[in-house]
Amino acid sequence: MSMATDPPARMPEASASSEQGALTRAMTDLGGAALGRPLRGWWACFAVAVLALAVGVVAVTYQLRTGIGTWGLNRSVGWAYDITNFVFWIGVGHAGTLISAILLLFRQRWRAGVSRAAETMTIIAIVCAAIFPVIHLGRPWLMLWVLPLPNSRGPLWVNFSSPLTWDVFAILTYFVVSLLFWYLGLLPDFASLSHAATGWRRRVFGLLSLGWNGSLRTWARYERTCLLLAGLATALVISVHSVVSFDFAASLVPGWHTTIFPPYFVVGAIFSGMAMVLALLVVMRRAMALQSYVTLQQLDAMCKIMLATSGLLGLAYLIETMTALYGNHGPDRFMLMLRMQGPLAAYYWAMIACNVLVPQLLWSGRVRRNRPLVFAIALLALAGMWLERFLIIVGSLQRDFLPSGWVDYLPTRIEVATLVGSFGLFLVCFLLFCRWLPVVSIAESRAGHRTRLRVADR
Amino acid sequence: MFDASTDGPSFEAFWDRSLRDGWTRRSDPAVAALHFDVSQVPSSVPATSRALGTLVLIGYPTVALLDGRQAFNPWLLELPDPVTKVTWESGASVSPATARVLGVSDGDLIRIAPARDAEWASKATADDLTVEVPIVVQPGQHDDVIAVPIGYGQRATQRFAGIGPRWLGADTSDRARVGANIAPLLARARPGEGVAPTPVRVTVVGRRRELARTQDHSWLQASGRDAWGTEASGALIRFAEAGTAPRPTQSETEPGGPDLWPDERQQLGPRWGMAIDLDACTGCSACVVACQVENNTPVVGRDEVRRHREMHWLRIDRYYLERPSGVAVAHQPMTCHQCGHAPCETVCPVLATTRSSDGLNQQIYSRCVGTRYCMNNCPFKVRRFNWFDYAHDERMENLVLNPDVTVRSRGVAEKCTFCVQRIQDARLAARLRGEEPADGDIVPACAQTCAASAITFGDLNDPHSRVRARTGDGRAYTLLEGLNLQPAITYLAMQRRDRSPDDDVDGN
Repeated sequence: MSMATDPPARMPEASASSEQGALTRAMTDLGGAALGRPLRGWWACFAVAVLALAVGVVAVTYQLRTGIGTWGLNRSVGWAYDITNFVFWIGVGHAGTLISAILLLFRQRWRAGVSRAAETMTIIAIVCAAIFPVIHLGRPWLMLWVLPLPNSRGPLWVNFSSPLTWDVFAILTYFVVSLLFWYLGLLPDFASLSHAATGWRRRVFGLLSLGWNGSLRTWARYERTCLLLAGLATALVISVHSVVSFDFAASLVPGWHTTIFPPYFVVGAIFSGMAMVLALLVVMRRAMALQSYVTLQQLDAMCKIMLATSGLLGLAYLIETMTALYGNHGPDRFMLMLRMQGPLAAYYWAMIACNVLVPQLLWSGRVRRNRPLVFAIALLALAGMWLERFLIIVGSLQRDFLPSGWVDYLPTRIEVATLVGSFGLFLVCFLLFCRWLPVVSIAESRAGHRTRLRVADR
Repeated sequence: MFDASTDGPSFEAFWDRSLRDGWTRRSDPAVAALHFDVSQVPSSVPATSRALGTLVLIGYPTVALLDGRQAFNPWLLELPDPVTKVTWESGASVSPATARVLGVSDGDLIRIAPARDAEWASKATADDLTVEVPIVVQPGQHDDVIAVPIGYGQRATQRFAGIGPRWLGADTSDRARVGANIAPLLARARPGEGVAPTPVRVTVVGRRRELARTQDHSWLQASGRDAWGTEASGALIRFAEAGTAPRPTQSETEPGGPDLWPDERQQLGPRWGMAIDLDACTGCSACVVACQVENNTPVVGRDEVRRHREMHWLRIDRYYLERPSGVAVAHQPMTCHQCGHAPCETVCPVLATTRSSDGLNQQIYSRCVGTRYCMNNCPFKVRRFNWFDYAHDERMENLVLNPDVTVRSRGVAEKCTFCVQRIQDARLAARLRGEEPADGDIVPACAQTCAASAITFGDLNDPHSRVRARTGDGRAYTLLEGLNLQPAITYLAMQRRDRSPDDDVDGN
């Protein structure tokens, strides 16, 4: 295997003097916050995030005490904001896995500057997502019953033909692998931080680095483990959102029961994930002065991925329409007409605008380099993807087989507050990450520096 | 009270007997037979009422409240009206054309006052004679008529207005009596003439009071964006020609193709099923109340019905059909179909809903965690969810509960069980006799209550059962056949002949 003989890709060449300078610079730029340097505007952002989180905590506490009735659900619409938020956050998480796994396998160098932020975002997004299937239960205190645990109730097992059971496995696997990947990436940085730090920080970072010694052998094993995990995670990028889409595709509900969902959901997930990473990085880059680590070239590459997935998404919408029109199947055509002209038609057209039309601006290089514009496009894409899931879930449930069961849905304040709260949780966690961990991999940026000496990226 | 001629000579004996029995017989004077003179009935719609804003008020008794004697029963207040499907309200029905003229839609409040030229009205103050009620647009109604149920708006019904779970978003602003009393408005000319239709003046208030209605979409032949209504839902209510050939027996209709999911749950014992004759069903909704009483289904109150969270396990879907002779109304009792291939069963992650050995789709409350996936996947939308804790600790209120049926806690799904407690009762009784229950031994609450005997219950696997015979009827059909649900409920199609203009009135 070539890996063992070649110098590991990410191992810094300790002898080169320019490397030493880069190391010092990277240490101050990236490790600074972790070593106690204050961050500009951090407390203000954190206060806002904590406030949003508090709103959510209050809402969820009240809902758990009082009942699911505090949401706007009814006899026909059994899922709405809860599962919409769940699918949305799971989707957002996909960018991290894509960047850290697939792009690693394809040796895309530009991922170095963004992978840490993206991977962290993935972990936080999965946590945000996982909250919803738990709190949406009628009796959330029994949530462990969805796991096939040995129990004292005789041969009582979970239902392996239920897509919700598949969901549990898919998401738990995804979370564990993502967490491993993320922590593995942090190991060399913990070691560097431990060297640079003093006092309790030195001890904590030293512990977290699991005895990393920076030897050639350590690096070689590290690289191999990363590749192995990347292989595992690549399958997960495809499988997780496919399984999530089975919740809908494996049901009978017109508008859910469709075979296009797995690829359609995966593409949408990558699209929204890229949008989230872009939105975060554009802000972080400026606030934390990371211009030399998160370069315009990297933002540009992510914009291109967004553009590509937006095109695929547009194709999926088109195929859905064509299938309905060609299929001459009443319920399908009805669902199509309903989306385009029904009570949620405004949502549908807003979704098309946000997910398909607006991202077309990214064809222009000028737009891709205009950070405020990219930020705005990314936010719109996030809104569009949320609307897409809302339309699929609520739009289908409120018009199914019997007209007598057709009931419209309106969210309550409690439901809106849970959405606000999930964003609050996301931002609180992400801001803590910015404060306590290097937001760009120090090790990779040193390796990347070597590359940059060859390829000027401005 | 004591009458020596009927109660015997001794007062002591009468007293002791009365104490022991707890009742006494009282002889009433013989009631003279009343006679009904059709010629005395005033013409229902005066020819002069065509003027805009002047309508003829008709007060009608509802099946639930009758003349108002049952206005203190929350079960009946929450029972949807068979036609308007409105609960907790005395809505004023007007025809769609009249609603357009008035510029109102469902839920818009109107004020009904006596017409200016009614001399009897001048004797009372305007306040006494004015009521505010929300509009109910009623297809098929005469354009000049405004129909309001009587018996509502009674004193002391305020305590029911606020029934329902207490929470942050609950609309508890309504503290008034349930509905409005229109009795003072109805002209009473002379004793003996009864309640006559009354010309009234209608003004639009400009405010709304959302109706608590259990069905929002009622047209089977919809147009435009609801076009699917014609295709998929056309099969919900079927019309049969008289003398239709008998249906092939069940074994012949079973899908012959290979099944991706072979049925491992061989049906050895009975398979309980139901046949509902849509021709016999009048939509009276007695079965709905019977089901609610039998199965400890909670009354959830006006606000929750508005949010479409009524808990009735059995509902009656009411559809309108545009026929050459006008709007026809069809009623379809709808409850759990106890599907052989139940969509709810496959999706439950914790196996809280499973199939019993006698073909019932059983809900295990204690296992349910409340994902509501089963509700979403049910094509008939007959599953109900305990959004709140409806059970209460009050002793008096709990005396109404059926001790044979579990009271469900918050957060679990529930649905029709085919009155499984009655099935088990009958089977137990039969087993003690050393036999199987005979056809007709088991009667669910709905079938027991149906005055028209529209519901037949029994064992579909028994070749001699009445329900089996009805599934072979020429009018028999099942709902949503394309989904291969293998439901246990068979409907018997309606036979309707459209009235032509020269038919006489009762030629329906």
